[in-house]
Amino acid sequence: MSEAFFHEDMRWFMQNRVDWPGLLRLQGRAPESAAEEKGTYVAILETADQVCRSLAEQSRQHWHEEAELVDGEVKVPPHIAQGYEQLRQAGLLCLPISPTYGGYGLPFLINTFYLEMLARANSSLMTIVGLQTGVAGDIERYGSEEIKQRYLPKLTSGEWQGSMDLTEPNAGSDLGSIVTRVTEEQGRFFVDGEKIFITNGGSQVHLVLARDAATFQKTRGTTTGLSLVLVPAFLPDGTRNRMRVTKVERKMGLHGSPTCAVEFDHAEGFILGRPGQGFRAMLDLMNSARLGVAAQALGVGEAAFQEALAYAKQRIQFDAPIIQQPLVKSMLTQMSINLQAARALLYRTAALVDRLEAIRNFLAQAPSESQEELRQELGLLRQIVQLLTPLCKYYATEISNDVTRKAVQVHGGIGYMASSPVAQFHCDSIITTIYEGTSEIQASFALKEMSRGSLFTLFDQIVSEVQTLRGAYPEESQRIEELVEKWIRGSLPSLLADPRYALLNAKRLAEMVIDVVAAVELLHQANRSEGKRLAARSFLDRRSLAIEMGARRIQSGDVRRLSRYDKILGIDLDTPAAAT
Amino acid sequence: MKILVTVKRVPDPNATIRVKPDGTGIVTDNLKYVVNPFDEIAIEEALRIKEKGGGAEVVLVSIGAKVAQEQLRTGLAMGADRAILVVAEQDLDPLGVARILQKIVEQEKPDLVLMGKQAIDDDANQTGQMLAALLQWPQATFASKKESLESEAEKNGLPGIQMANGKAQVVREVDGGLETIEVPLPAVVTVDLRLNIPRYASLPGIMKARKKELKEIPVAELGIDVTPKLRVLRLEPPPKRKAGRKVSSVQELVHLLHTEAKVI
Ligand SMILES: Cc1cc2nc3c(=O)[nH]c(=O)nc-3n(C[C@H](O)[C@H](O)[C@H](O)COP(=O)(O)OP(=O)(O)OC[C@H]3O[C@@H](n4cnc5c(N)ncnc54)[C@H](O)[C@@H]3O)c2cc1C
Ligand SMILES: Cc1cc2nc3c(=O)[nH]c(=O)nc-3n(C[C@H](O)[C@H](O)[C@H](O)COP(=O)(O)OP(=O)(O)OC[C@H]3O[C@@H](n4cnc5c(N)ncnc54)[C@H](O)[C@@H]3O)c2cc1C
Repeated sequence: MSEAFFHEDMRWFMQNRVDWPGLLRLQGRAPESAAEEKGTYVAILETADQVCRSLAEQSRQHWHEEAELVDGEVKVPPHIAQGYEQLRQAGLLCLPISPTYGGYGLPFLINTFYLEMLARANSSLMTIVGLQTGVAGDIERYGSEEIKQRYLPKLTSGEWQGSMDLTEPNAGSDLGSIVTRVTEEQGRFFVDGEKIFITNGGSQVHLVLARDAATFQKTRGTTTGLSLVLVPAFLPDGTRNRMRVTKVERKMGLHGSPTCAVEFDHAEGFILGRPGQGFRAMLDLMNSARLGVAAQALGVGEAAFQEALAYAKQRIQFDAPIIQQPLVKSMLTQMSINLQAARALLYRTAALVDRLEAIRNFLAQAPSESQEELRQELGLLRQIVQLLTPLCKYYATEISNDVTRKAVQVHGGIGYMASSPVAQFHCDSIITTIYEGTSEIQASFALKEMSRGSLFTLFDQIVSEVQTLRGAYPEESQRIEELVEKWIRGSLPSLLADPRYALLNAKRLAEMVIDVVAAVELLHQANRSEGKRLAARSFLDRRSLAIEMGARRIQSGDVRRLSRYDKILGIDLDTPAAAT
Repeated sequence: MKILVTVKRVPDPNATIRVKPDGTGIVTDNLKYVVNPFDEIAIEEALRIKEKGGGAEVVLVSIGAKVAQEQLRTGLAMGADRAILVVAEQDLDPLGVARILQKIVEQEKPDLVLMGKQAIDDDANQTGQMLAALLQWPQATFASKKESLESEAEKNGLPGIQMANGKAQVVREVDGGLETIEVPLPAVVTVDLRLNIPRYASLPGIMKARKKELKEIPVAELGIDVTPKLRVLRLEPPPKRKAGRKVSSVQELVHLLHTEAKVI
């Protein structure tokens, strides 16, 4: 069963861990229809399963084929074009967009499942579909009715694709350094500048983050004064806009996904939301895109795991299948447990996103004084989702790097061959810790969120949830509580002493927090089977030690550690390398 | 033209089936259920006849527990027009099923009944033949087609069963080749594996299916005796396959096949 793209963990989670009637009630729909709704989701995911299965078969041999620039046009390899067409025919595009604009209004959770399945089948194709959905989602939220009518139906039907244009040569992690500018001329807006590394940069609908010309000097170097501009490749009158793709990169993986340099030469655009407030709107897109990349990373990791498991069962060395070697078995088990943990964390977060959105929309229509309880829940959910989103992105992508590398290792020499599927998965996985904000940026974001109080909100939730599990798992519950109270909370004073010391430990702290959330979620699943119970147990055993070690490491030092690192690296900060 | 297609809810053919220790049945916990793969081919064929052959109403019928609604919804999502579920929670044998179908056929008066040649759960391969006998209709079993499943005809979704002038032309798989026969309508046709590759339900199809008619008829309402004439005494798992043995030459292989395995 685990070979199914519609994974057992997905099926179980949607049946057991989501309050669908509650969600429907908030949406003003009949809670009794929950069973029918679920039936529809299952049917959709079954279709996705079949389509993904055939995509995986068709694309595996064509992994090396590169997207190219031919006569100024971006050309994707045939397996990408055909795969896209197959998805389009099945209707598997823009699932969460409202039916008003041609989507299906599906929950974020269901779309997360779908993106994971698609990435497992063809990670390059997934980037195109993921962006298209994200771009459409941002237009749906921030666009005027006219803009929505003009762009959404063609995005949902698949005629047009989308891209998200943020990065510039001098603005990667640091989007405050963006210098692409947007100028207002007689009520119209024009964009000038250069963007690089733009996935699917040959798309018809670009969402460009650009700095307002009017406040350019004043806001330079900050994320204020940025606007989110919809720049279409073709203007409403059918003429070509003043923009072009100048380059398609060659990369170590993700070959079928075009990574482009795009030049804007006074291209006309349409502002989404309010001018100068674009960073907020972009953050929305980025948050869902981050969870999308987490899903992608999991999909690639699962593909690699399945491949390694199958190989280890049939490769004979020393007269026995290598899976019987304790060291090989241990690699595979770690891969499996870590994937399960990352999945548990991601699905939990995606389900919270659905609840948050439903409450937000409900309150937007409800009379203002009533609904105090929901208002409060919304506040808490916001904090938790803001924290869990970077944690999911960080964890799922790092796990994916590790799982795919181990999959190569399990394959021995053959895993290192260019034609090896696991080598491909490893190369495809590596990008996930880089784009949509690197792992370091995710950990730093999470740290910032924690310092604003969300860590305590999350802990309150975890600790009260653990109470409900106490009856069934007294020992495990006790341990989780101890990890939270004694080790993690106990480390906070050392971190509060100096923000640079906190940053130095951001990944460590992130992992400690992730471990307890994942442990609780795995515990919820423990009664599914003996395997699940043992996996939860093993995860907790391993990670208890890791959390304790992390805590001890944090508590044993202070900011002077950084200057010791300078000495180890032989860096003299008075004469930076750039000056020589 | 009206086509009635039968749909049975069966365990997923990819699932590992385990027999209960007492041999009374199989372990059904966590078992995933699907449309019987042969019935899926029958639905596909009906839809092709409808699409390429100038229109038809495609009506699905299932007999079984209420949960079989799921499989009917799948068929509706593929494109069938409406569905009937004869609700029967008890066990039924092929004759009971054929009797129920006979009633439904009398009510619906289809021109063609399309069925899977067998269901992959009990592999009886009897219901179609029994139904034709009860109705005293002509039958064509194991419908297949000349073109391969990789052919252009298949890619273009052409039907394998040809309907013209009140007759159905059916290519049958027989030992050593293909046989083409013609039956006057109304008729019962059962389909084989190589007739077509069924489509999957598209998302718009799934959404539309939610609004299509799915009528339930309690089996008692049909007023027929469906007490099984057939009783399952015991189920046993097949013996575990023993490990194979490597031989060094063809001669040795032939020798062992003759002396040990005694197959040649
Ligand atoms: C295949 C591919 C597709 C892409 N698609 C898109 C796209 O569609 N749209 C788009 O806008 N961009 C896209 N990008 C760009 C991508 O988002 C950036 O590469 C990424 O954000 C990192 O920026 P950078 O490359 O400039 O690295 P840098 O920002 O220079 O980072 C270099 C290193 O420094 C670390 N670092 C930097 N700042 C900090 C800090 N404050 N704290 C700790 N560590 C830090 C980073 O973690 C990293 O390890 C894509 C890139 C690739 C490779
Ligand atoms: C680029 C390249 C260059 C090479 N050059 C040479 C060369 O010049 N000369 C040469 O002779 N060979 C060469 N090799 C072969 C290389 O030495 C083998 O690939 C390597 O020894 C692993 O063997 P294998 O690929 O058969 O993997 P396997 O032996 O099948 O191993 C598969 C996995 O099982 C594990 N495993 C196997 N047995 C055990 C055990 N008993 N306990 C625990 N784990 C176990 C392995 O660690 C591995 O993770 C080269 C390989 C490559 C990729």
